[in-house]
Amino acid sequence: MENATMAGAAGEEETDTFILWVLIWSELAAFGILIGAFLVASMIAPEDFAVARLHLKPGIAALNTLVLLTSGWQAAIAAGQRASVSRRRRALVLAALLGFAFVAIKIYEYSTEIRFAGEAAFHSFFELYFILTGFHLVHVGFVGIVLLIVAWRPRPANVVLVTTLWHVIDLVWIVMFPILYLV
Amino acid sequence: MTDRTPRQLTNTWIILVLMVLAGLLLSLKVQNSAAPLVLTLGFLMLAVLKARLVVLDFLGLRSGPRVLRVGLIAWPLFFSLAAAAKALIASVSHVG
Repeated sequence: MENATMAGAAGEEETDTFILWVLIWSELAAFGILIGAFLVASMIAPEDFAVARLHLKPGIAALNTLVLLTSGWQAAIAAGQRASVSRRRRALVLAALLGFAFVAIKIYEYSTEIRFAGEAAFHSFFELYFILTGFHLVHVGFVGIVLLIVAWRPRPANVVLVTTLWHVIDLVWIVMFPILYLV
Repeated sequence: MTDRTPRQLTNTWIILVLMVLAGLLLSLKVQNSAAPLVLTLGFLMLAVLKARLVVLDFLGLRSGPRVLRVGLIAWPLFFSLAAAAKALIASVSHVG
């Protein structure tokens, strides 16, 4: 009976992990399509993209990279094998708060860029820029809320699921940052 | 679940912060202009190195399943190489 219960729990954990990685790869595929579209569009209209990019704020984006990496560091501490419940909880709350700081900084950055989006020559650049970064921003906001919910009752399995997703969102930003702002 | 200790994770975070600051310093050199090819490649290389550290240490895949480790490092590598190829083509056509 006990063996059957343990086998059932292991099977459930395996299913959770499988679903998690399916979700992660579908996210990476979606972001990959958008990044690919941005790269192709920037090859079609290189001058327009180069001039439009000058209206972005790479300094603010670099600050946001630091915020997100610090949040990822806290998420990794929360997922540590030997972390106590209180440590997990504290690290998850910090990771979430830093995620919300990322959202606030990004919204401020948008407020400095939105006025250039209406110019005809920059239309294609800003359309892709806002779709790509906006899609990412929604992920940061939503998973930030999930981090807080998990922090309330930090079951190890849930901590692993939500922090894995958090690191992947971090990974996407790391790739997006130079492609959108610098290259 | 990562098997890294909090100290090891902190060391990884410090390296990541230094990489971001290095990228920021490089970007100050090209303010208000297009980045030369060498700097472009530098930005992309930093991105791949940062992504690699996140996958290995924060995600805890240094000792995890190989297929996930390779796949997750290949994703940023693929897009960084695509961006590098685009920059290379642009620089060659500009010279031409």
